[in-house]
Amino acid sequence: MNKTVMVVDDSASVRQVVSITLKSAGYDVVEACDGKDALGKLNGQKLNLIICDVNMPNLDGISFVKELKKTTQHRFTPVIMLTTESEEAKKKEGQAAGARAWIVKPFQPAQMLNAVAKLCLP
Amino acid sequence: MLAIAAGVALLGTVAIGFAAQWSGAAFVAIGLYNLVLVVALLVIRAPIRKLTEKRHDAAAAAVRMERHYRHVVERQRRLAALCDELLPLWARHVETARTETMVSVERLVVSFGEVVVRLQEAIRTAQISGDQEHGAGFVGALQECEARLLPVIGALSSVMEVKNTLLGEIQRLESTTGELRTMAGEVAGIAAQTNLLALNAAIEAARAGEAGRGFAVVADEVRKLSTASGQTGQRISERVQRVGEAMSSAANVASASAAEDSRVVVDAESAIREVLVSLETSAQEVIASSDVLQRDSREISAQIETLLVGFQFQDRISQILTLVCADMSKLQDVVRDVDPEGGADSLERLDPTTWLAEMERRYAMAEQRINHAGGQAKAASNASDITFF
Repeated sequence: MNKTVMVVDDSASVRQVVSITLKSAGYDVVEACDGKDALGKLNGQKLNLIICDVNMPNLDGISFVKELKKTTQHRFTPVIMLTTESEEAKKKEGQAAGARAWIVKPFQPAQMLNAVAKLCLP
Repeated sequence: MLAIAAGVALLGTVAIGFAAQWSGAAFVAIGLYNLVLVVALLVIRAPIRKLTEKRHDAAAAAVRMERHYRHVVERQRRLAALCDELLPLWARHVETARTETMVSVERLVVSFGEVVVRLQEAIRTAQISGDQEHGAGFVGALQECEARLLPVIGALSSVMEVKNTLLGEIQRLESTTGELRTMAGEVAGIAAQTNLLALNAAIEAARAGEAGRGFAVVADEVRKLSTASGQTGQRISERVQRVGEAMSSAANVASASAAEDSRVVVDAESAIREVLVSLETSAQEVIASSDVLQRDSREISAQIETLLVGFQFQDRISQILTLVCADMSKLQDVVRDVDPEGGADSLERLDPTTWLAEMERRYAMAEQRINHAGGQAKAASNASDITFF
């Protein structure tokens, strides 16, 4: 059975690029357009990993990760932040919220797949 | 009011007159003068008050106008200062977006071009591999192998059949030769014994004299039989000789068959070698085609990865332009909404330092911060920046 990754990003083109990359490597993908949309799709969904943008409308990525860590089902689901934000302060904020990795866009598909393989839950 | 003024003037005149010991006429004249003066003052007091009020109003209006003028001048000065700071910054952001767009589009165009070239090469390679008309295709080579090997197999089967037949014949002849030799031996033995017996009989007949004359005749007949047996043996030998010749002939045929076998084997070997060379050539072509296809596939895959990276610049450019557009809209609102009569708060909104600090707070990318600091950010590289926590 394929592993499932949730991709949260307000940019449809980025969601598409990440989805293509993951699907070509054999992952199933669930997409969400912002943090609020992602929280709505968590219930009952088995996820091995989440890839999340930082700057998004409605609910930003850092706040989403904080909310995620409060859930029983997904508190241990690893999160990779995928963002144009490269400031150290923001990275520390993401780390404090519970993210496991920080990738600055644009990302190389091969390197992102390595990070996904490294952090993905069995 | 007029009576009070007249009273006051009269009392004042009287008091001054007594103090100065004026005459009656002087009292009256000065009193009337003061009275007229007081009345005149009272009459012009209201217009003077109105004039004074108007003067105060004019002064206040002048102050307001001066304040407004100063506000407008300060507003213009701050707006100009803000524009001096903001417009070059917007220009740098837009230039970064333009450069990133241009660079990423160039990368995309180059990548698409490479993909097209690789795909065309792959299609051409596939066409060469599958081209049966020129006999270079693997399937064609296999069909050629089948067409050439089947007659060879038929020829070898036919040779084997002939050889088997010949072998059976020779074996049969060998068997007959053996029997004949046995028979010839038996006949020779009988003839020798018979001859010996006839010799003994002739000796006994001679010893018996006249009485054995008849027996001598018998012995003579027996010797004749022995001679006949010997002749029979001779004929057998002759037949054996003929059989030997037949066998020799068969051996010759077998020898000729062996030569034919050799020729067929050489032909077969030659045909098989040609087929193997053809197969090897086709296999090499298939392997070479496969290598080219694999190489092209890898290169196409790499190009598509580059495209996937290129498409992400849309998100970065969108962020830069979204912020610039929001800032332009904010400036438009401020310019439209600033109260001409407003105070410090109104001007504070046009303060370049406050404005730029607010703008900087909303940056997400390193390029935006570089532009803000006065530099010109270059297009972002394709290298991923990954941090594991």
